[in-house]
Order: sequence, then C-alpha cells, then structure tokens
Amino acid sequence: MRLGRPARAAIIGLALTLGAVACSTGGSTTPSAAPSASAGGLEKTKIKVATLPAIDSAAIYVAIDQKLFEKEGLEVTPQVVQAAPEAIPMLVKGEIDAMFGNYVSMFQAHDKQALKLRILAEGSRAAPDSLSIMALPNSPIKTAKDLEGKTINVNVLHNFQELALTQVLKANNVDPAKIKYVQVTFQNIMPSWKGGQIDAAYLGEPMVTAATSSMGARKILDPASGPAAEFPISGYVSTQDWYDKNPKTAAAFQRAIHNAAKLMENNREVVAKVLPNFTQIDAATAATVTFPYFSSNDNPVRLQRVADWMLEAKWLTKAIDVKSLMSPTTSG
Amino acid sequence: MSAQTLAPARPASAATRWSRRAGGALAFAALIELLSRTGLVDPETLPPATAILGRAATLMADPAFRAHALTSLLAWAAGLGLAAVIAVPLGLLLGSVPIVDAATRSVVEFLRPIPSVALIPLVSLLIGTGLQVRVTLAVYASLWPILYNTMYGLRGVDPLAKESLRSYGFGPLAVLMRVSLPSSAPFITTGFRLAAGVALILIVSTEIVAGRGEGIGVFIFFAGIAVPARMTDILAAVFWVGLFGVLVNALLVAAEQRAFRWHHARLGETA
Repeated sequence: MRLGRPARAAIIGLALTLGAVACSTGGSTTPSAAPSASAGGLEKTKIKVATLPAIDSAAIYVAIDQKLFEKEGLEVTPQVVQAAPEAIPMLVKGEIDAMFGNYVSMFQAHDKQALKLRILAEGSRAAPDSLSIMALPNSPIKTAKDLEGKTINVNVLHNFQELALTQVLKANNVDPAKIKYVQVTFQNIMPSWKGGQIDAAYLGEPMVTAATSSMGARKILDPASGPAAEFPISGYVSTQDWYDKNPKTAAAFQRAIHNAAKLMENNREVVAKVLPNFTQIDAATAATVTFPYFSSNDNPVRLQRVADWMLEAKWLTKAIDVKSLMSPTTSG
Repeated sequence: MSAQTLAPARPASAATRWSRRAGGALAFAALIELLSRTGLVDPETLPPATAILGRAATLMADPAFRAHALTSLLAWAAGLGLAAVIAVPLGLLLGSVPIVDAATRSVVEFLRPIPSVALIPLVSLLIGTGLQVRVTLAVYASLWPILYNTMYGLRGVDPLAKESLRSYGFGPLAVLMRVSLPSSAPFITTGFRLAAGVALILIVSTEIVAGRGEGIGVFIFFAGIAVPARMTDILAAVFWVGLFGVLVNALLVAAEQRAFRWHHARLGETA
C-alpha cells in the first residue's frame, strides 16, 4: 500500500498543489483536544479511535455501551474505517489518537518505520472455530493433507491468516510451501469459492457460521489450533510519540478495554447487543456466531510469538522485542 | 462515417428519441428480471429488476442514505469544479505556448495513466484522510479529459481568424480571449462532460476503498461485507449513481447543443 521514497518524491509536487487546493475547500478536521483538569489528571479526555467493522473490535463498543470509559473520565469516539491501512495515515497525521489494527500489519509498519508503534491494549485472540479452512460439500478435499497444491483465499497476502495457518499446517505434516494463496476481497470470497477460483476457503466469523448452515460447507482445519491456539490477532495501538504525551490517558484507555473484556468473557449478550452498531451482523446472527477471545490483560509472551513467526517468514527485517512496545497492565 | 455516404437520415423528433431510450432501458430491466426470476443467474447474486427498483425507491426515503448521497454529490461537484478551474487555464497555456508544452509533455504523459486509486495512501499521508482524499483523486482523474480537449480545441482554431486579429494589432492575450477560447469552447465542454463521468466513478470508488464512514461508496461497501451480501442494496445504490450520471450527461449535452449551435452546424450534425 505504501509508496516508496522515489515514487513519492516524483509526484509530491503535483499532489501538494492539488492538496493545497483541496484543503482550502474541503476543510481539515481538527481533533478536539481540550485537556480537562477535573478528569483525574488525564492529559486528554476526548479521544478518537479508528475501529474495523468486525467482531474483533467489539470491546471498545462494549466499553462505550457499559460506560467503562466514562468511569475512567474518558470520552471515546469510534471511527469505523474499511481497512486498517486506511487508518495508519490518520494515526500518523494525528487525526485519530489510536486505532484497532492487526498485529502483523502494525509490526510491518513498525519494521518499515512508517510509525513508531505503541501497543495500548491487546484486543482479540483467535478462539477455536472463529476461523476455519472450509471445503464445499462436493469438494475432494477431506483432510489437511489434501490442501497441498490447492488454492486458498486470504484477505491480504502476508498477513496473520497465512502466519497462523503455516504453523498449523506444519504441525499437521503438511508442507506450507505447497499452498497457493490468493488475495480475495471479503465480498468476493463466496462467489470465487462457488465459482471454483479457490479450492478451499479461509473464513472468519460470521462467514464460518453462514457457510456451514447455508452451504453445508465442511471444516477441514482450524488455523488457530495447536501451535497457533489463541493466536493474538488485533490490538489497540497508537504511536510512541502519542503515548509519551498521554501516558495517563493511555492507562485509562487500557483499563476500560480490559474491564470490557472481563465483562464479555461469560456474557454473550453484552457483545451481541453492540454488534449491529458497527458490523453488518444482525441480532439473530450475533446469537449464533463464535466470538474470538477478548483479551482482559496484556501478555508480551504470547504476542512475541507473532513477531517471531513473522521474522521466521522473513516478513520483518529485524527482530521486534514486543515487550518494549507494550505498557504495564494497570487494570486490577 | 455512414452519415457521409448515406443520404442524411431525417432527424428523429425529441419524443421519438426519448421513447427509444426508454424502450432500451425497459428492455434491459426486463432482461435482468428474466435472468433472475428464471434462476439462470442466482437471484441472490442478481436480484430481479423490480426488487432493485423498489429498493432504490425506499432508499431515497431513508435519511441515512440521502446523507450518504449528498456527501458524494458535494464531493463530486467540488472535484469536477476544481478540475475545470485547474485544467482549462493549464490547457490554454500548454496549447498556446509550444515551449511549455514540450517541456511538460513527458511529465504529463507520465502522470496521466496513473490510476487515481493507487494514490490514496500518498494523498492520505500528505493532506489527511476523508473528504480531501476523495476530492483530490476526483480532481486528478477528471483533469485529463478537460486538459486534453482544451489543448486539441486550440489546435483546431482557424489560423486566418487569428492572423486577422494580429494584423489589426491585437496582442496574443487578446487573440486567445477573442478567438482561441470561444472557438475551442465546444471541445472544452465536451472534455468537461467526459470529466463529469470520470469524477463520479472516482468519488464512488474512492469511497468504497477508503470512505471513512460517509458516501454512497461506503453504503455499497457495508452492504457488500454483510453475510450474505445485500445485493439488492448494492444494486439499488448503483442504480442511483448510474441514473445521476445519465442525467448529468443529458443536461450537459443539451447545454452544449444550445450554446454551440454554430459548432454543431459546422460539423453537419443536427441538434
């Protein structure tokens, strides 16, 4: 997604010209930031956070719905974006304070020095059956071994889907190098699966439930099992610079997210209630889908796995010490 | 051209032309209805035309959808307007000063084929996300038809008229304003009409990729990520975008024919 330096330099002049004109008419949005002295010493009480229209983002909406941010003296405005790469420029430019993003993308951005990453709070981890490699009822694919030489979709190449599946395939004596991955947008998964462009589908919820009930699809493999069990997927992140300026706000935000996750642990209703606010999942579907795990504490050990596997796959140029990017857990 | 070899056909009356167009649209709708109702195409993928049109009607009554549509409309108007403001003077400059044209040609030829959507990350980082991105990309893409038509329009200006003015002592600027600009105006408006369509495509597609919550493209995106995808919603929104494009085009064609009757008469067309 990001252009290289030479390409940037080449078109920067024109883009600046256009930009100057567009800015003068479009008007720029300035984040409202009025630090209030009465809010327990928080550096900033109103923050904007980019979220994704996926179940994984639920904790922030539960925290809003259950007034957990309010308790911390925080007013959080979520801004749904269509994909995490859209939010990175917003974060870099200070249009938002934090964003919900998957670790693989965020570590890659950090590695390429697109931003200096700071993890504010862990978000979601893959739960059993929340992700699934599935085959259509009449497909010759029966076992994990049958996946060799086959084509599987991913939302984005070289992302967490491949990373987790690679480990699970190895554990099942399947050669991960023999899988062909193609990038298929979310909307096109079902058509390309039915049309035969992909042999097996890599699905997340709510598609796993939909494919099982409406198409009779069979589950071949759970990409979040064995070595990749409870694989951390996404978290709430910001830049180191923002964190240095707002450490108390960051701690308050983390507490509210962790408390929301605790509340969500054994309470599906509290999650199902907020899903229609930011996803396309209606109340009926919300009652049947498998949720991911929502993290109620931060754990550098399990998150380090993601960075290590990325290094192993050569998606990173150097090792990342994940602990150095994380904040101490302040929730009780 | 067949018009030159065959005896000129009698121009159809406005009523006949409109009824033919409506007939074509009806036939197209009937085809969709048939494909869907007979199950030749999965009705979940292609809902019947009546369902799409019915949904389009109810969508217009939905304030949320109207807000999306209004955002897109404003972004479109801003993008197209800015493109014209930039491209017409630039086209006049490039078309009338050969040395500037020669010096910038390679850059222009390099920039022109860049797909605007590829510039989203760059534009977002430079000037911020949201409305600015949409408008900037629409300006970028719709600049070219106006720019090129302006340049080609200038090329076709009657040299005799220019010479006459010069011999009466008019300066280059006066020649440009009195002869070159009026005589290339029909080309410029054609460029503008093409740009109107390009800008519409860019606005909606940018919204689908990175709309940040507002616009018809965002509505289409969210309908698309539902499981199963809400195809009727998607196609109903697409219907409105298409209809808007047709109306704008028809209006601009009518305006062109009214304003430049002399031009069309010269080309042997019937208005």
